[in-house]
Amino acid sequence: MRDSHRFRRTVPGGEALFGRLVAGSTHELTNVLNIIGELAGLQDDILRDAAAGDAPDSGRLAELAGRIHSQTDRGQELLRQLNRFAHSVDRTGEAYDVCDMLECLVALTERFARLTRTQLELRPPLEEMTLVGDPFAMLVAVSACLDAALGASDAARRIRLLAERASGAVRITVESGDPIPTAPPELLEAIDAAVGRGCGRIVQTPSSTDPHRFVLELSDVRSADVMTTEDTHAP
Amino acid sequence: MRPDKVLLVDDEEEFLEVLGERLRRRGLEVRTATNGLDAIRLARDEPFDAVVLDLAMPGMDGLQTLRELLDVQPRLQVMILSGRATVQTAAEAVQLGAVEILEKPADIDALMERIRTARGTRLALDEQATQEQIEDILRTRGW
Repeated sequence: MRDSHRFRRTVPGGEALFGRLVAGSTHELTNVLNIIGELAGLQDDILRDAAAGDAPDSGRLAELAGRIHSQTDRGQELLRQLNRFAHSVDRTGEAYDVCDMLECLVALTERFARLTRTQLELRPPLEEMTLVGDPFAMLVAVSACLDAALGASDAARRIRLLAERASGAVRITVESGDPIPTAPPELLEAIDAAVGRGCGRIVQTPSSTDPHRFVLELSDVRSADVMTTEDTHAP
Repeated sequence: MRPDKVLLVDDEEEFLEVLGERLRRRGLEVRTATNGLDAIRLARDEPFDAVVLDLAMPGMDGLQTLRELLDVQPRLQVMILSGRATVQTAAEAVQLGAVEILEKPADIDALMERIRTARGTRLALDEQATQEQIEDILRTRGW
């Protein structure tokens, strides 16, 4: 991490998100390592039996090796996303691809969705959407919306994340198949503070007329001109 | 003598499948469930010498599953095998009736040893329960 960002101003809710995603990802990585351990153990078992007289089944050993490779790929991908998430903190004021960041958030939130038996889907956008701003603050805001939707996941158990261009800005929608309760003021404040740092605003929150979605809008810091030097290099 | 019969419960299907195969190679009869509800359903249908249970699972979590398994088979020997057991959840599991808390990855030989011990305990408890039933019958019927 570069020195200029070592003392960056914190994003409300940022530490909690960091802790949660790192904890979730490391549990997931532990699962991957445990599976690899058992697959290697099974290979040992097969070879031990072979040493005792049975011919080793080379096809089976190769199949197990392939499964070890698949788990290694799963672990690598998780680490790649975790690393990308960690570096979002020191990319304030730089250009970032909104969809790359959302893909990272979805990958790291997958475990929590699975534990609530919810299908989490990022609808692929039609174009690259690059913004200059605060990607970490954006992730904190979107994650708070996702958490609220996951907490209300019930019958449909399906949440979609959409990103689309909207007159120079990027509009992010968190849409749940289940109704989301009206957001309490403290949650709205947290989302508002985070999305504000990410140079954006809340467009819509779940309400009695439409209880299924949060909509946030992010602008480019170059056009919005709201981020100060103090914000990126404080104190 | 019938082989030791164990129920493995974990939401990681591949982990379950491979560990199951390794235990079968060591002579155990193994059943598997990827969630708490399936585990309880299996426990209603057949007796097990031991259950090896994960804590973090979708839907019904490990502690709730433990509670219900012991409702179905009160003398069941349930071992927690988890990658994320905190001191608090471990204490809660023991309080609920878990006989062992094992941390993943567990050495296969150590796990086998614990399953054998669990079977011994289960047999002793069954024998004790049968003895008590006989004594109860003798007392109430006055033979």
